[in-house]
Amino acid sequence: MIEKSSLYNIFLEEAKELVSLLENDLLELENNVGDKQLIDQIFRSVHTLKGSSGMVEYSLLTSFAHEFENVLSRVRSGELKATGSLINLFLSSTDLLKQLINVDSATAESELGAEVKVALENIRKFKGIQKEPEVETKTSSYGAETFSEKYIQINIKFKPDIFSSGTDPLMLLKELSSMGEFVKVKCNPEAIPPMDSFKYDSLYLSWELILKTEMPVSTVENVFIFVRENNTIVFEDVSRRFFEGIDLRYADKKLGEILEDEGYVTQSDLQKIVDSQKKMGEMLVENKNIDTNIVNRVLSSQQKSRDILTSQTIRVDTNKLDRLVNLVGELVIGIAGINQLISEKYHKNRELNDVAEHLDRISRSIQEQVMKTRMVPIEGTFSHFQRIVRDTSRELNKRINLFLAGSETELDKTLIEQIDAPLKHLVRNSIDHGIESPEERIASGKPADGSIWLRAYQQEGKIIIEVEDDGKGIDKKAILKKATEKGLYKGAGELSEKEIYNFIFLPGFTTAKQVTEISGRGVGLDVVRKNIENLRGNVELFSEKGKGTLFRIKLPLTLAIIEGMQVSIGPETITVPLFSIIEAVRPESTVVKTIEGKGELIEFRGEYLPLIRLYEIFNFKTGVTDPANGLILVLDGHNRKIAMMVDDVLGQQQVVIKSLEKNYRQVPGISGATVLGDGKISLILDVYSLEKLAFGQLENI
Amino acid sequence: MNRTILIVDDSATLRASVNFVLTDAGFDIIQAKNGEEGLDKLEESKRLGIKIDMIISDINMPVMDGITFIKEVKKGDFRFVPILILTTESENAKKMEGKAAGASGWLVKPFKPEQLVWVVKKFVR
Repeated sequence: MIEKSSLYNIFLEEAKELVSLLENDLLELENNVGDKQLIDQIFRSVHTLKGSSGMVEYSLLTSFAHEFENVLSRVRSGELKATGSLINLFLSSTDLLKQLINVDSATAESELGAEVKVALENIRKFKGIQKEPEVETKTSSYGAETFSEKYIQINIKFKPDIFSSGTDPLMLLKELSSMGEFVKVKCNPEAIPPMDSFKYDSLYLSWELILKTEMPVSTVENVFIFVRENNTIVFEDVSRRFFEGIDLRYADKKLGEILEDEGYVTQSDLQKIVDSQKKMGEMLVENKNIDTNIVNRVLSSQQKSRDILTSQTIRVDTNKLDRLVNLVGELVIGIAGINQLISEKYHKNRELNDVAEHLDRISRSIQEQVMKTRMVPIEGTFSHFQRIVRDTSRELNKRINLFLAGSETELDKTLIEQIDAPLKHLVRNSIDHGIESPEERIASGKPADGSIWLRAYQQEGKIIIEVEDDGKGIDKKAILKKATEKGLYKGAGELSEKEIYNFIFLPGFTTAKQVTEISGRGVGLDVVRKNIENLRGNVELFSEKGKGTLFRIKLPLTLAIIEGMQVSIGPETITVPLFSIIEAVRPESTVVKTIEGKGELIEFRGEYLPLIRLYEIFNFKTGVTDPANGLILVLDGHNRKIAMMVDDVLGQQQVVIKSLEKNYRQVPGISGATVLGDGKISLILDVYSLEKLAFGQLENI
Repeated sequence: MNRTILIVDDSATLRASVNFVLTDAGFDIIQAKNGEEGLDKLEESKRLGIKIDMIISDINMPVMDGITFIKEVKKGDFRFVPILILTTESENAKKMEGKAAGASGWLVKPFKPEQLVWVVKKFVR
């Protein structure tokens, strides 16, 4: 932490110097009106004062200096002339700055607040017409980032009643536009109903935007922080698709498709035109310009030529790619080894250091690029769901529309192959158990046609896939009843929504009254969850009775590398996947409690979390057995948090996962191993299987 | 061995807070008041065999401004050293100028300690 008082003293000393310099310069300016160098120096003094006061969080001073600086910048640019009355204003402003410096920020607020307000009004008169957005007090203007231009696709669909919450969507769009430049703005008017059912206070429009920005995605997402919960707002980094503002997909698209994509014409407009047109060949034949045979021959050779030139891509054996991924991983580790050696033995050689670090950065970029070559759009997986939904819903006499979004989202090839089965299961589940029959739907005031949405997008370095339906939702009471019947729930204690939903992910649990052809054949959601956890992902369930159900699957971007935190237990170094870690805390020994039948619990922000002592589980020898001397990692377990005790945290590093199964055998609690920069081998923890190892099967949560 | 970072800023308060935060995070800090002094410090560290792992520089400074400073650094022996520029909230154009001169990242003032550490660790591990 910053030592507040000593920093503040440095600030005071500097501020006093700046203000007295400012005063002298202003007096000198009176005699040398228009002296450019002098004006520059005056501007810089106030600018520096603003920055410095910001660092010590003296906001009253910062905001006054900010306005002062604005007017000075107009003088600097020649818009304003610094003559008598303006210099007087500057001098009295300087006096106020002096006063502000002589008191601390808390007293300033109460004693000088009114004075500052008046002075601000006076100085704002010279601010000019250009209104600057008041961004400086907002947290969104804070930031730090490496330079990188991104294209972020934002799909926005607000609830029709958004206006009643007092939200103005236009403000949100304006805020977005201040963060960069829109390269695509498409407004979808299709949902506007006919005049007689049009409600004047409802919002029927939705938007598809692509924003070109240097802001991190998280900053852009923050714009919607208050409305994200209840509305459908999807972000996706689509930078890969763009080059200098040009959508590269347009190369292969027809004019009509592009116009439709940009929102200028609708699909039905296009279809009408296409239907009304005759093909070139047909017309020529009709006009007797040419013989049908010739047309057919030319068409077939055109097709052949297209086949040859299909695209700019080349096919590569995935085994070759896998080997490449592995080798690049080794390269990164090798370079990390060189860096370690240099820092231990050759750190005096600056040139060697610089070059090695340059090499390190490059090798990481190579790794990133190689990883990208393994990425495939989920489109292929998504597209066959149209057929599945169509066929299955007919069998069940239901009417269901499937909507796909984010088909272009890219996943690691291995993920794509393995996500297909769980997704199929969830979609079938929605058709069978989620969506009601048309009669039931009409009876409960819903449209006869049910809807299922299949979405994919990237968020916070993870792939999210959602299966949502607008069916009858999940009946919590029915689940509890079933759980009690099966002896899984003893009726003790209030259960949270999450805990109740957890039951349906257990083996052999189904509430379906009759087993149908489609699902409910014993292969339940437990298999779905297991499959997804094997991919180091997780699945969450949200549901509202009568409204619908949403399954949200979160997957890592790739299976080959993970961001890991290295922790020590005695002489061992263990790698914990960063996405499983919620927090690392140093506990006090008094907060550990032992409860009969539940083992050790540790208090964390008012919750009691089950405690795992890692050295006990793996039989490691360590001197640290008192949690007060160790460190607690709070981990994201099966729908709950768990606490894990380790000796200490060593650092954070990207690691290449080596399978233990292939090289040794499967080990419970461990998902693989990796070689660290110093050549040491570190085991990688598998949090879910560790949880099972520590607490047994999870039926009795 | 600690990593060494050069901070170039005319504000003593800013230099001090960078110093506090980064010293605490295990870095060695060398300070300079403006671009010219920054170049001197680089020369000096070369003579003394001190490796500079990163440079953090303000833009608006007397004597030699940040952009000129970065351009000078990029011409010499220290061209591989990553540079982070400090800007204020309204200086978007400055960010781009800094980028064009060869900076690798930016940090908006005033910043929070954890932001500084976060962005520094993106460059220096």
